[in-house]
Amino acid sequence: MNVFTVPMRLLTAVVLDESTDAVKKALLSLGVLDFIQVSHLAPEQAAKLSPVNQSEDPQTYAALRARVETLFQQASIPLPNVDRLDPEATTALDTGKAKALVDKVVAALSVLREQQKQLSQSRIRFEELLRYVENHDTQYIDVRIGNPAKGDAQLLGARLANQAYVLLQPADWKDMILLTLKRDRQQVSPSMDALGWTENPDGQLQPEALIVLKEHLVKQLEDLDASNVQIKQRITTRIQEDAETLEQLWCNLRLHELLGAIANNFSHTRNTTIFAGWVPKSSSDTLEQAIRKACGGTCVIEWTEAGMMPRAEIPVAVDDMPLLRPFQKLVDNYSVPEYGTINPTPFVAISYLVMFGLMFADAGQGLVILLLGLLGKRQSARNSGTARRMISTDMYQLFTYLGGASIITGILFGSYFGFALLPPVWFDYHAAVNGHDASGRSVYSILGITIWFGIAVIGTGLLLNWINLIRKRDWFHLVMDKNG
Amino acid sequence: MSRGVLSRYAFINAKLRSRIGNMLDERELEGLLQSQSLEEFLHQLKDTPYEPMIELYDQTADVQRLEAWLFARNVKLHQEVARLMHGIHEQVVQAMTRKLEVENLKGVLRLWFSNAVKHQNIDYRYGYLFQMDIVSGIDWARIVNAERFEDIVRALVKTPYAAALSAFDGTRIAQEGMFFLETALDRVWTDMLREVVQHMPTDDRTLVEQVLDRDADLKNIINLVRFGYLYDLSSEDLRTLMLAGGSIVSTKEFREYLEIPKQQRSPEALVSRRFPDLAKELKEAHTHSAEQQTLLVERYLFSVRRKAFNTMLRGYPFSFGVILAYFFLEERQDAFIRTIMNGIRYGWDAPAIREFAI
Repeated sequence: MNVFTVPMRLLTAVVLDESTDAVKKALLSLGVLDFIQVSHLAPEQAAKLSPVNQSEDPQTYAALRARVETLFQQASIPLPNVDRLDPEATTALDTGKAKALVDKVVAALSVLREQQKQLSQSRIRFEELLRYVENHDTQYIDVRIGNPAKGDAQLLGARLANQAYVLLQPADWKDMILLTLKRDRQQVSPSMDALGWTENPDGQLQPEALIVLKEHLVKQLEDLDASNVQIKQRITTRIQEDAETLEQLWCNLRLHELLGAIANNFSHTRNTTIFAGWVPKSSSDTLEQAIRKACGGTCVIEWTEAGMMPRAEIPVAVDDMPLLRPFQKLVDNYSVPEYGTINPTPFVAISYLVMFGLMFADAGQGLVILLLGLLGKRQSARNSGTARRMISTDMYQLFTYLGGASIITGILFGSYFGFALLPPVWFDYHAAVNGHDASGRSVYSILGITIWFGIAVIGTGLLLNWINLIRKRDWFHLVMDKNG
Repeated sequence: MSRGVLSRYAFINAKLRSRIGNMLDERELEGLLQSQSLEEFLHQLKDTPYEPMIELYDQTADVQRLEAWLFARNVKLHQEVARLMHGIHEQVVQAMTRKLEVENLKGVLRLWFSNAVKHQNIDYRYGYLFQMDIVSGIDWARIVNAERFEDIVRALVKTPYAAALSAFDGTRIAQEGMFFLETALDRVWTDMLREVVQHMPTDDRTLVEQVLDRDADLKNIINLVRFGYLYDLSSEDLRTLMLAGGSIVSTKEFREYLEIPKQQRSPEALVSRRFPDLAKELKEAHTHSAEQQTLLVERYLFSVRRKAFNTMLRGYPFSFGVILAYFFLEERQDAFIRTIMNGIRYGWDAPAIREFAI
């Protein structure tokens, strides 16, 4: 485990223009170069360099990729795995054709969406009618029971097509039941008159008609839901028809987007391409070999050690320590360590856990926190790839550590859900606070522990600072600074 | 700072600022503007407070339902803030919520007018309007289904709107349309808000009154330009449109604006004293059409409002200002979302949508 930031080297490379595409792919495959603009390194030469001249702006690819992703989302198709992004497999991309493909699918979907919208509007009509029928709001509805002298139910339905209505011919009824809104009378009445509607004068039929209408409306709404599910299925099916092509397109777009982003960092002379960037020292040989291979050896590569460059300009990378990731995030929240200095994460992890353990020393409650953390981790693993959660996996990992720290200190102080169920391994914390500890410890002993702990934390902080100042050769601050 | 102020605003201030922090930033809004289809637009709303719109569209493909959801969300946000306040401050938030109630009431009245007066088919359109209580208990179904205008007044008898509506009758509505009725409703909620604000503690009262006065001035200028310059509304009608408060209605320029014939009216002269920068912009745009000049005025006055609310947000945190700024920003964001959504629906491109997304 390296406690210092990862040593870096600055690469400056000149390759022939014809090798540029191969070099871009090699750089993308390795993904270790943190680009800087060549003009930044040699501002006096900047005027002689021309920027990249790309046929398509990477933003075009990004926008098109977003459109493809929208289609995937509608069909619940997950995005292609990152393993499918093979820079060597990048093919020429005709954005016009790609747009046409996406437009074709979108156009097909818009027809289905229009049908879905009409279902939604029908639903609104039926919901309003059902509300009034259920609540017996007869002041808002007209329930007609009778028969038209001319035409049939189909003709009547056609006349009322633009209104909210229900027309029924129950099997055991000799009359039709027609439900409309009172507010539509201006439009409905002329149609009824034209068809010579004769109303059944039996007022007893009205309550029965309302029951039949309610059942029918509930069924209508269920049917609409079923139709909606079918349309959604057709939308999914339509997208899936082109899923393979769209996935290939997505990968190609993503690769072009990334290659375009790399190309944006290139500068050009008449026949050559120049680029520069920082790379971890451990990867520098691999990167050099990859560039040389990509351009058949026709290139010039120059390395500059980090010590030759202003420290503030060097990017900072730290070794990934999977077990300490939650603490690395805590440290990153404050600030990224300066290049070449100590990454304080391991020290933060120890002091954080000890401090939490001392403050929350209870084996029972610690177990609860530990279980919550484990449960959360399990849930996160199950839901990986779905919507972003408020609590990340690393946070659950932190819960398990904190739970563990509480359990250990709880056992040391003999506290289990606030009860002294087992004798303490070290001393009885609560008894000491209350002055009843058999070992003769008191509240001052606890105060002593916290003071020693504070001295240890501050002392470690000072020690780390001195090491950092020595590594930076900052002798002035090492001797004169208040923390020196 | 008194303990009362701290206890009143500490929680709401933190809560609203956190919500403001979660609002869409300029980059996200620009991304939304570039969307070429509603699906792409909605895809970008993932992981934002507007995420439920994705599911709603997936279920219905109905843009008007999305607009209805936006309105319902705004009502909910107002009601939540009201619940977090107490006493007179809660009443002020409720009075502000009445703006939404009036908007909804106007929507329902417009439908009634189309159906009962114009005999047009309103079909499913009532389903898009908010049908629950906002502040007062209103039976919306009774209004939209009313046979006569007098039935509507009776339906609203237990609300503050009945008095204003009783000044109208069915015949007048049929002749004049809904314009004057709607402006009367606007005056009801602004007057009610002013009345409640009177009972606030001095610091908050001063702040809210400043905002109301400025908003009244801006709204009055917009109405004077829109209806007195773009359209030919009589001086008397223009005078009745004016909202209470603000300083513009007591200026010499206002009186002169009303006295002269429409052809000679000059928006530039009207705003010259209160907003000299706007007067300068109007002078430079004198060759533009009346519509363009009206749009210029609206844009400028909106930017004045935005600037004032942003200043409020940067200022003293424990005041009613954070609530005013929050409602303003939410309203602006919703309006932006609504404009883009409709722009895409009608096939406009990004620059055209940006024109309207003030």
